[in-house]
Amino acid sequence: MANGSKSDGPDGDGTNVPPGGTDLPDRLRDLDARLNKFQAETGRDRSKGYVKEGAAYGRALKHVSEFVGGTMAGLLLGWLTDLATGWFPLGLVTGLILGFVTGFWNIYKSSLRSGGS
Amino acid sequence: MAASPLEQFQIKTLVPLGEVGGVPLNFTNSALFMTLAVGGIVLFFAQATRTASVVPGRLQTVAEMIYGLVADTVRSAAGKEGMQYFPFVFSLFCFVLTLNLFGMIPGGFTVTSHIIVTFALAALVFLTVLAIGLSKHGLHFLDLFVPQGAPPGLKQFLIVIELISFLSRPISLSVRLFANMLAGHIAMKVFAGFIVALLGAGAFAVLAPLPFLIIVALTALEFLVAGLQAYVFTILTCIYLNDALHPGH
Repeated sequence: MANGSKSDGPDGDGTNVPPGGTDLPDRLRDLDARLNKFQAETGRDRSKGYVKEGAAYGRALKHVSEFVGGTMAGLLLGWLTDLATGWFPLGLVTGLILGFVTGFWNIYKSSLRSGGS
Repeated sequence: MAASPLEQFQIKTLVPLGEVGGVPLNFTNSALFMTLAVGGIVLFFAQATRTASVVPGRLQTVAEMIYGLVADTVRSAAGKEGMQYFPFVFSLFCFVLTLNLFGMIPGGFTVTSHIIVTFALAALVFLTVLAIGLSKHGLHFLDLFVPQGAPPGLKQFLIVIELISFLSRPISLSVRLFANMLAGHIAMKVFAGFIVALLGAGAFAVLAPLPFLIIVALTALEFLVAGLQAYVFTILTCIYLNDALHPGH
């Protein structure tokens, strides 16, 4: 079917003009714009809200595991140092203290990350 | 006698396969559920993409949503270069999510409530990140441990802390998933035990619906946690991948 000249031929006197005009590329562009607007209003917002809600719930558990992870890594490292060198309590104690510091450092860093994005 | 709330985590041998170097090698309920999970994922995606069309059906929509979720996460957390590791992240997400959800089937086994499983997954992520970082940036990858703008005395100390912090990643990653799944399933079993105990306690049986209501709420919460923890595992994998790809920030 030819587009340009016969566009409002069979349908009658051009009362049935779709939004955005009769030109096909124009109408496609219009549809695109409306779809984008619709997605911006509904889809995006909804998914963002869901993620935000989940992130709020997970943040507390995240900080705890960051702290536990740091402490345990320090402890493990100290214990391995003890095993390797035979300075029994010294490595364990130093590792534990460094682990505590690391735990707080981890919390600090992860809260920066979640606050930033 | 009421069953212990920990009984559900027991590993049971289903098919003994002999020994390798003195270590028993068995097909256990844990292995069964992992196999079921992998089979389920493959079946699901094969079915969902079998009749791929422009206007997706129900299964295809779900598959596309999972793809979109993981792809968005990878792109936003690790940038465009991160997308070359998308298959790895996607497999990880699907595996953890399916294992978590299979654990919600009554009588099922929650593989992710065993720390050795979650630690193996986290160690896989850790070693992958280390390999990518070292192969892409060589020794420059170690710049990750040097904090910028710290005064000289503090800098050496912070390097040690950053090093321990880096080593703590697989631990915190695995502990988070394992603790969430373990605690949730224990809580559900404990409250379920309350129902039985109250029903058997004469006049106190009128209180039995209370723990039942809590169980309903906990089950919903556990479904949320199952999805959320799989997502958290994925997003942290992406953040660590980002460190490997752009160590200088």
